[in-house]
Amino acid sequence: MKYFGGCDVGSTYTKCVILDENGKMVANVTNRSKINPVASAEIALNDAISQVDGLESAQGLSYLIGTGYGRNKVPFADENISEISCHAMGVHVTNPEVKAIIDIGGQDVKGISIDTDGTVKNFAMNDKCAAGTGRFYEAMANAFEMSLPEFSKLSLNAKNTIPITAQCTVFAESEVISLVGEGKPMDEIAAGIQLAVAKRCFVMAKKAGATDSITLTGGCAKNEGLKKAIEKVLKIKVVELSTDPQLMGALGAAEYARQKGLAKEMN
Amino acid sequence: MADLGKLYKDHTAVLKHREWRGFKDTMYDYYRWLITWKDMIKMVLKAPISTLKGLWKYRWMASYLSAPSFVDRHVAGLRGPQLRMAHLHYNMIVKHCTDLINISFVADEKINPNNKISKKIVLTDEIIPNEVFQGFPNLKVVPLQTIPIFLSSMVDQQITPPYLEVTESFGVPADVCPLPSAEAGVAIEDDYPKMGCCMIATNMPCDGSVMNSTFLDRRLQLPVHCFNVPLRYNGEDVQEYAVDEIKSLIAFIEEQTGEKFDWDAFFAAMKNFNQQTEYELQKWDVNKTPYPQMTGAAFWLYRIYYFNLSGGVDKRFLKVDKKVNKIMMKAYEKKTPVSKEMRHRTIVWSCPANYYTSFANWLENCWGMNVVMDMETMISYQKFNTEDKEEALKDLAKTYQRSIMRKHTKGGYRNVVDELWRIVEEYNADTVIMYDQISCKGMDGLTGIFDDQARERNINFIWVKQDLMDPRTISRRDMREQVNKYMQTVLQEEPLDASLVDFEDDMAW
Amino acid sequence: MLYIFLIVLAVLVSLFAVTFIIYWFNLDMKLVRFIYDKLQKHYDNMKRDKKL
Repeated sequence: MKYFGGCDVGSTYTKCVILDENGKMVANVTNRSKINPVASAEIALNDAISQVDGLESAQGLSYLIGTGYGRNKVPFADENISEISCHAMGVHVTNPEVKAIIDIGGQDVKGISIDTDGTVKNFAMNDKCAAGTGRFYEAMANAFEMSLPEFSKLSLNAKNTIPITAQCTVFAESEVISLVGEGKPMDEIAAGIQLAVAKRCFVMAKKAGATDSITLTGGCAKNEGLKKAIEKVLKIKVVELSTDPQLMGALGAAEYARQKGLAKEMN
Repeated sequence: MADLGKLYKDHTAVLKHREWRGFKDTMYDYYRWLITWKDMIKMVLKAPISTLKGLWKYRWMASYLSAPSFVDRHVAGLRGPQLRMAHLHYNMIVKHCTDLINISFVADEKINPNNKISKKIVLTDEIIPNEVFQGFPNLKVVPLQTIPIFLSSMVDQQITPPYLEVTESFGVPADVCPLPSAEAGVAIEDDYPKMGCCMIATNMPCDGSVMNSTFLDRRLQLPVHCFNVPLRYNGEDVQEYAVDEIKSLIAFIEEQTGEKFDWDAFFAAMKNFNQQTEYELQKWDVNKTPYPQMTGAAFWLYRIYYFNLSGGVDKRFLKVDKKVNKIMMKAYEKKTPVSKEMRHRTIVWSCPANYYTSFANWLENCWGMNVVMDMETMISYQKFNTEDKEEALKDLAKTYQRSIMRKHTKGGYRNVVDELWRIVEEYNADTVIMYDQISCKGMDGLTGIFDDQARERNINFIWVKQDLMDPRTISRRDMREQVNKYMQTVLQEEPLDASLVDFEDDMAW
Repeated sequence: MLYIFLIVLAVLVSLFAVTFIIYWFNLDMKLVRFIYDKLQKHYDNMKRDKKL
């Protein structure tokens, strides 16, 4: 059996996926990223390899593709492909009906529209501002003295939404603390936060030309309150992926590795 | 390709050695390099003490020492007729620039107190094109900000941050447009030469200029006239006002200087200017064909330079235009390819970044994207009536309403949206590079419209964010990365020159 | 006459060689970079009449 690897070095988390030659996922890892992206990739890859019987080391992989945030590349990979392409491919192999992605990572937000073969038709990204990204949510959860999973569910039962007016993560955090201090209901404040992020996502999605059949990827895709807010703003149902949405980049990289690895062998 | 990226020494992007272009083209480039140095040395020899004092006094003058490097990066990758045409254009810019620097220092009362030239100078806002001033042949007209900050920021991206910082230290927000902010910074730092008998301010290109005029006025302490140019320039109802504004401008200069407007001199200059416009239009016509001959930075840089600064009176520009036209037509008739590989006929739209004027060269060398037309080139091509005074004034008014950073960004969305698609069709382009100047709110409301309409037309539409004159917010590397992402992800193309995809040049001029 | 011609030729060839070496190895801009960096320190330390 041949194995193909995909390694996605994000700003906050490093993910690794290994597929067999039939495209079945045989290993996956999600680790907190270290300051050294190469070390993060090596650790994640070794952790993934240890999950596969018959795979001793990275040399056992027929092809390895790296991807990542910004210039974080995987130098020991056979090839590096952009994270945008990898996310599109990852979603495509998980659910080919999905035509658009909102990817909310640790430090950026992307809107991606997918072509019928899993390649990218267009994209838009905001990587200059932390507002609406994973960092933003970490700051908000800290302000609420909650864990991220707890925070993500908080807005689901809110009867009203208290709008958050500040655009910047730093000022939004100040605003939230003030609102909490004034005794405003926490779930309504949380609803306001989710709505603010959803509106930013709407802009990214629109810019990328994404109009229907949309899904969320990245760590923030697990945020249930955000998903509900996005559905409200976009007025369409967000498709739930059958695989962990945080793994889409690594999965797409592994799928590209599988396609290129098999093609190379045929030649 | 030439592996051009490997020529850079380090993040200063100083070349390890110059580009080998084959024997003939390298010798030509060497010859042009000698001419550049000759012109720079000539400038120093005309007024050596004043020039050295100016270099010691003014931060921006050090930037001009790197003029040969400016030329190098703007002719990178060029061969044959394209190399020759570009050099002719850049050399003319260098020559004229040295004249402006020379007059600035000689007339500068800080360097030469009690000099007789200063009071014969009329200072203008840099955005006001020179044409109207050709009616005052005995006066010297100097655009105040051009040498200290506008051109210097094109030659050296490092020049603006110190001036921006000083403006911000006085409480001006950091997210305003860097153009007026940097201009104000030069005034605050007292880095403008002190000269002139009066100043012509303007509302061009936008309110930023109006606001920063108040800061400039505090430093200059000269009689100021504000020359207002209508925004809704397609309307016939504003033309009378526009002409009246020109008449007021002329009256102000006559009053301040004692000179009378000389219609003969003006008409003679406009005849030359009309010829320059003819040559310009021929470039455009050739670029519409399958064999464009002048793409890249030389096209638009020379255009905005002579449009604003030649005024029709400096005949050297016309000589250059004739030579370039001859080379261009010969190359066009032979169907000479404009570059090694033209993959995408590209239109560049919206205001370019001063700190990356050679971006079009990079697009061409790295990704085969040849810029066949751009927004700044398409400023007014109005020809002037050279016999009837009232008609000439109307032509002048129309020209000024369609000037740099104005023609397409003002007067309604038709001027910027519909006009883009008309140009895309006319030039048979498949790609648009759309600058998004992040400090400018001017076109913010149109981004969705551009995206939607590009999709309808199946045009590759690449947004490139930049911050006009501040390279710290979005660096040259960041600008390139935006294009790289699109080319690699959406178009899935391999670069023509892989060494140019990613490199550091944050400390470059 | 020939002697003068040879001297002139030698001077021209030398000038060409020197200038071409400067051109090819970009020595002019390397020197300018050095001077530019020094001048920046001078500009930063200059006393100025800063006012708005």
